[in-house]
Amino acid sequence: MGLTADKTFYPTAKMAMEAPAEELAYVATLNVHGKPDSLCTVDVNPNSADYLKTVSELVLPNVGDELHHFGWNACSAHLCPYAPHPDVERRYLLIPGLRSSRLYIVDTKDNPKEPKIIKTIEPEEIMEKTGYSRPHTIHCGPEGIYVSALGGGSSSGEGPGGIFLIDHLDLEIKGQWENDRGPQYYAYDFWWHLGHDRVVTSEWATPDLFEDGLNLEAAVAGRYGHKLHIWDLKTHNHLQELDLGKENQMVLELRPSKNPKNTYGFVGVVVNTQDLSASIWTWYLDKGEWKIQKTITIPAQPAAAEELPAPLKQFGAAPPLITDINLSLDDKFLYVSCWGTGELHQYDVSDPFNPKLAGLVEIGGVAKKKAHPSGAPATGGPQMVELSRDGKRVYFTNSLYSSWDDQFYDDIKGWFVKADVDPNGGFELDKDFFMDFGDQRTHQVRLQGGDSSSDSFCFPNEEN
Amino acid sequence: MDLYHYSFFIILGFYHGVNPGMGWLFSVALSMQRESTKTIFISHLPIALGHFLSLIITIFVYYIISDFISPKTSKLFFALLLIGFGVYKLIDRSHFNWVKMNVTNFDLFIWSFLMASSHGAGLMLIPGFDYHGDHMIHHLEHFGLFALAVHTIAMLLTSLILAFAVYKLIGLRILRTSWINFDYIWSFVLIIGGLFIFFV
Repeated sequence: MGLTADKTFYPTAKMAMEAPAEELAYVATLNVHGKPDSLCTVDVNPNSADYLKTVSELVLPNVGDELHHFGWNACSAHLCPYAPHPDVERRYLLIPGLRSSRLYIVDTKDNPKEPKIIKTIEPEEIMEKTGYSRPHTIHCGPEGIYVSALGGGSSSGEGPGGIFLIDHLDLEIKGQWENDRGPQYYAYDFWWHLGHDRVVTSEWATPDLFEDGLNLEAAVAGRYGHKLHIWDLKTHNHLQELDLGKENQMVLELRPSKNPKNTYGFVGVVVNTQDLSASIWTWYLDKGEWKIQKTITIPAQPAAAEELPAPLKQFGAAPPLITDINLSLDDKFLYVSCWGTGELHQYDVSDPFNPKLAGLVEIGGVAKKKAHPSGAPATGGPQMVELSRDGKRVYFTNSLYSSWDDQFYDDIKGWFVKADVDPNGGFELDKDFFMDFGDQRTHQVRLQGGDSSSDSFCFPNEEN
Repeated sequence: MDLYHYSFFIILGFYHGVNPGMGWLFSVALSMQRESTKTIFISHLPIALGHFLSLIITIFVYYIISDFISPKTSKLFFALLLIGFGVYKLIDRSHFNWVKMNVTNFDLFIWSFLMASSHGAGLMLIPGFDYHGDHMIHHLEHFGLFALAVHTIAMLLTSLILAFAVYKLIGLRILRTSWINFDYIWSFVLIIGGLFIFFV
């Protein structure tokens, strides 16, 4: 407990954009060759002698965790006025194994360049205490650390998935978050509108539908998730269900406006089973009722069968497959990963109902297989995307999920790249920034001190 | 009650008012959320009332206990209570979270009552009360309630001025530049209060 506030906490999202540039990036990498996954610490400070080097690799003690997303124990939400505790430090990264259901907690304080495991929560404990498995998204918030989990409380692969809480002080599991889950069964991402006490959750599927790879028949039958759920943050009760239609398969990443006064946000849909397009939808509150509408459609790109991986040959087209999105802290730019077509789009979403394409970079892709501007060949496509707090640097990686990687790409090799953003719109790949991770498949990136998807805020932006 | 006693209650009123956990920060957030300066003033009514109620209950219990035990035992008991609670607050850092941003005035009243109670705001005032072995009611009428009202008004004014200044003039950056760990100081004030009861 510090005597002063953690300097990485900001009362408002706009103020957080003044944060200094990150010097380190934490990159989760997974290994499919019988070796354990790792947390790699990368030096991203251009003035450092170790720039673009992995300064440490924390090799996990188990094999087969399948690292995916991860997050901080504490963030700017600790400034929330009903229980202000800015002395809590942002120091631990909570790193779930999506396949193993194990959760590692690492400490970055003593030496930020060399995080150390301080605690491991075993799968049995998670299942027993929360009734869930396959932990996924981590968000620090008003009641501690929230973790979404995709499976029910056994290794069987059934649901329901949901959210559980971890105490942010003693790092012990507090239990299942939901009070009344209503019709909700599938889980994936979650986030909130702190100013309105509302939680939004999305749907991928239960583990039996994703662990062995994408089940095309199930997707065509509309059996993957296609709904959003609105909840009361205070009572933990389900309030409303928003159905995007069962042709819109897999409703994943949620990016609500960072301004707690606002009541809208963006969610990405992986694929439309009728035309293989992908889409972004905007949810919003209208006279007490939550609604949703499609605001961006990204069409599939025609491609010759011989260029396409087996599951796509029959369609003669590369689907964009939106797998991740990220929103700048001023709610101005939305970044959209098209993992299938090998594109990262930047949209100006100043008008959330009328996004405009502002920039586009290409790398990889199932058909295009576009190389990095440095000349390095690039397998896979833009997947997990992270944005610096000042909105100037976009970092992204290329692996989705081991079994799905193998369906869409031959012998995917991990990479980590950066693009530089023009404040007026547009962005381009930094030709000197290409890190080859080889057999280590790169996943989520977290930036030291926080990034554009790590914090939530209780105070609306100040007008000045 | 003499000037010495008055200043004790007033100074602690300022102190409680300055603590962001006692209400001014909540008031600022609500005013920003609702885009209403009026909210600064309206929200302070339930905040002050909740605080006041917590103090009344504490002091009521103080007099009941003092009526039943000898002055010597009472001195020891309250000294240890304040020191013990101060130490407990140093160790226990948990905080309740049932309230969120979307609050009614009644929620704010209950919130303020619980914040004051769980932080021992009333306990902190015990060194200012002088038990002479009179009947409880006598104190409440002639001394206790008035002192608590004076304290609450000092707290209310401090909180109100701070909330207004931050909302209108200073801005939220103050949370980054000037925030100090009030929980720490709070604990030490309680412990010093306990020592004061014991030795004075």
